[in-house]
Amino acid sequence: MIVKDYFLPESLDEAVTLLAERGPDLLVMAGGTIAMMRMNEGHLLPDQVMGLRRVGLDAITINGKLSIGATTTLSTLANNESVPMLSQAARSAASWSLRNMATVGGNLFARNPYGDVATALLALNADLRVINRNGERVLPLADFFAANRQLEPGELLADILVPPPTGQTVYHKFGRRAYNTPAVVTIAAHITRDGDSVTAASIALNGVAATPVRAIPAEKMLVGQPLNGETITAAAQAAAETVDPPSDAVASGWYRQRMVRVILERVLTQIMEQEQ
Amino acid sequence: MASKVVSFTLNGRETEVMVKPLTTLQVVLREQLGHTATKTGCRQGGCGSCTVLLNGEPVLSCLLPAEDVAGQQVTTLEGLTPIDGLHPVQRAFFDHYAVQCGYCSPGMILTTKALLDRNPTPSREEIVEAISGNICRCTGYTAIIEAVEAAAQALKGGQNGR
Repeated sequence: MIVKDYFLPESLDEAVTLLAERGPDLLVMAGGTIAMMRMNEGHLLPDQVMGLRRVGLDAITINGKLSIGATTTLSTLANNESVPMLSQAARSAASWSLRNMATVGGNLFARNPYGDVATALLALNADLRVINRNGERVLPLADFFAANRQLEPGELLADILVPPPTGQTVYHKFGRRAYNTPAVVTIAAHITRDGDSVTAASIALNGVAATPVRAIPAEKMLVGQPLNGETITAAAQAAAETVDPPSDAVASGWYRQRMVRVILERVLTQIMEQEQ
Repeated sequence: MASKVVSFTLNGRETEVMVKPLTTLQVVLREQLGHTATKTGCRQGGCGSCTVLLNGEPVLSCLLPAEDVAGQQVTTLEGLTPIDGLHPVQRAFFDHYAVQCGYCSPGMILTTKALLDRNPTPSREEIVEAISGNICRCTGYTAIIEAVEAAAQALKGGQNGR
């Protein structure tokens, strides 16, 4: 590995200043589980790298919204029960040692199908707080994915802001083994009901595209309807019909598409059967 | 490409090394300090053979820049092994034929140590979950799981490890 400079800034200020000065050639790394792997393989040969382990973004705070520092490890999130769907998503990701290193912010940049925590965040309508030397802005996680994960030059992801869930949540990761397994398909659903009728539906899918995506047609079909066998089957069918998943070493696209229908049926049935 | 001096505690001993930018802890342990119990496997975070304990938590030394551990506590298998004999976890692995080629053993044993420190009486399911990041291509895992169960028993019996 022939890196010329490795910076370990001690504050967020110092980090965004370095980023502004060094520009896009500075590789930003948090837990190292994506970047170090690629550098070890020789697939990524940066001159300059900035590590974020000491910038102090590794805490979870609650102030109306849940605010998760970008470098919070998946282990820390797994042990925080304030939003059960998030702790479950973190707990079922990768292995113990990887969860001790991989970060919540980093998971937003993980290539398909590794963005399981990001999928739960997408279903919860999370926002991202990004900062640069001159200020900050907040953008929806969905927009970040729609823009293929591009931030503006000089911008750094600081926190992930999660509004408290208003309805029922179910997270289902379907892999080929029980533990330490990449997703064939992961589904995170957040469904709000008033009496019988669904008033808001947010369903996020992982494993089916380059980034986690929302199943918008299925969501639209559910709103205003009761959850029953018929509406659940129709929504699951719609979700499967609107995705064209990639084939990789984990599963074929053919199989993934069918599993979207099967797993979404199970997820929605579980929500239907839960107490509201 | 200026090298930097990094100080950390390795197996209870103050240690100082000079590292080039982004050198991994794995390379420092093996090539600079001669601590070769930490293995080099996939270098992708997938196999667990390079597992070390950082402040008691299992991490992958192949993905960890040495500079990041400055001021912190690193434990390798060398630090677990007493001067005479074996740590109870090592003894249990030996007694239960949980070592075949031995390549996964340092990572398996350190992960087991970290698990039993947190949960002295893990269920079989909890053991499987804990070691799921440590790949073994020899044993089929059954012998290892039984060794972890035996180590838990041994440690509960007062044979406390260091």
